[in-house]
Amino acid sequence: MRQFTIGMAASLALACSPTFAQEGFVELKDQCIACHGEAGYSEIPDTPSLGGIDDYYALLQLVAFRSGNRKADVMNEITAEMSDNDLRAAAAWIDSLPRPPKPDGEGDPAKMQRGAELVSQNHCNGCHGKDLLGGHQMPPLRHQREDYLLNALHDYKAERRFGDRAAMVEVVQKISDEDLAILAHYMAHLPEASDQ
Amino acid sequence: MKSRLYLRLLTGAVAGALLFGGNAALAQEDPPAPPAVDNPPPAEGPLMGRPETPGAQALAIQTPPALPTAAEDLPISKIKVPEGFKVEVFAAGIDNARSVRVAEGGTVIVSNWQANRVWAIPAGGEPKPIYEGLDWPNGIALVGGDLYIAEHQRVSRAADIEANLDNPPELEPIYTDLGEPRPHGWRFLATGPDGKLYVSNSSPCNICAVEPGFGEIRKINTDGSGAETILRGMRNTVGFDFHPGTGELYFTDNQRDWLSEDLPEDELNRVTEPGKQHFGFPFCHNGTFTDPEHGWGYKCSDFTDPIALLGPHSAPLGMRFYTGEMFPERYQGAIFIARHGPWNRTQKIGADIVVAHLDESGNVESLEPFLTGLIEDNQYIGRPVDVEIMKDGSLLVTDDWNGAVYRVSYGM
Repeated sequence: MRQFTIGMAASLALACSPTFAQEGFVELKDQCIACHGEAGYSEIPDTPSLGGIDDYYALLQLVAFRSGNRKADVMNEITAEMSDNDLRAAAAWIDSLPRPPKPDGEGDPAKMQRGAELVSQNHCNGCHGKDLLGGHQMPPLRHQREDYLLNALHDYKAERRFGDRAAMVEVVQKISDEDLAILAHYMAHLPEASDQ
Repeated sequence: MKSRLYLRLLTGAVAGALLFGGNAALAQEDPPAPPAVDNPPPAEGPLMGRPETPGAQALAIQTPPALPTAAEDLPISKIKVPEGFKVEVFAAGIDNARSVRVAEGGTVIVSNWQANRVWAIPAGGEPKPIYEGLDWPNGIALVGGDLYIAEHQRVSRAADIEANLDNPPELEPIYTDLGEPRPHGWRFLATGPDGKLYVSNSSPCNICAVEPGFGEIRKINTDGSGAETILRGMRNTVGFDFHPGTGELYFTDNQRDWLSEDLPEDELNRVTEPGKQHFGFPFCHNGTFTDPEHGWGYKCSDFTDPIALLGPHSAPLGMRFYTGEMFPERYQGAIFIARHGPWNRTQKIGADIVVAHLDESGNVESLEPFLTGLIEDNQYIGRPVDVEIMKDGSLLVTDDWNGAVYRVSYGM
């Protein structure tokens, strides 16, 4: 058996972690808040609430907006000139936001029942968690804005958006538009999660 | 008599466990159970078919850091290569660096899978994207001075690329008959010794009855005409190359998930009769056992065996025959294989480059690790995807975990 030695003895850097200098993000943060809100939930139509999103998932999306791999005019423009550290700072801010609360008003009972069936049939919990609160690589769905959820589902169905390995593209292909609307309504109107 | 070689490139710890098989005291009780998780399987995607036991439920696709690793933070000092070789950073900041090719004038072309770009690194220059917004452009190949890019559903040409790096030409689609399903829908592309293009159309599932046209590598003319199926029964290849002497096609093939931690192993295969061989998927795995569902009624002797087994779930991707002049004589004509490392296995293995030495008849004589050190505490700190030989005989290695390209050289 051949002896293996370390090819390059000189260590270039002793695991220096990236600096989280805020750089341009301090000024940009007000722009984020203007649309997404400062308390984790958005009151602007078609604009997602950011509370409950993990740092890692937030950064993945910000990088995708900056590269243009995820299309959204406003976000593509805002991120275009942001540095890696700006994006890291933005992701850390998103991670610090509280989860969005349950909106006022109850969901339509028939839609809530059908929504639960659809979640079960399509195994949404498999990736998004048993309470649809997301995780490290997964966005939370519970109490996200209904209009935004519906837009996102249609974006996947039309392959305007992909996600990792296009798993969501595959999942939504066989769900009717009517059922997509029910899913969005259901997720937006769930009761408070027990462990929230 | 089968002359197939079985590779056991396991880590020391795993190999030790296999050799000693546990001691007598432990044998009287079960080992500690994996912690239970409440995590039902999704209907689609790689987790489909997962057994609902805690150890299986704990496994997930490995996702890399969101941003490419800065050059000074790359794990160069952790990488081990044989004595006399050295590793350096060739390029950093190439998010999702996948396939790599060197053009005639020395320009290095690097593709992406999910980051959807193709990059060029001019000789002595800095990396820059030459195409953006593509659809999974994993496959790249050069024919003469033309660059060909294989996206999810099309192969296109960028004519005379090196002369046009500052103003890359619009891509000219030449071939669009590639499968629509997304699973395993990223392509590998190579140029054959006959000057034709070879493109993969993998099986679009973990395990399934494969519809006609899938599980194939095809040969096409450089204008996209004359498509011909070279082989069938392939599951998911992300790397192939041609024997420098015989011109035969050799390809890596990633085998099915969720059958076992240890079976089947991923494969190195050899095409000796183009257009006539079936490599077993989904009926027979590794040439040794039939699939527990799709294998009933079939026998492994009806399919072509792999020529080497490369470890369970080890994900061998890019491979090249070494034809450079820099490395010692014993590496001449050997195959360098990048193993991306498993997601569907509790104990990680691979994330390395292995070398397959061939005998005079073109079969694998021995296998050995070449570049290692990218697994730390059972976590990836880098994942090799593809290899390519530079004009000077040094070896380039892409790493999609860190978004980097390394260069391995010998002597000097």
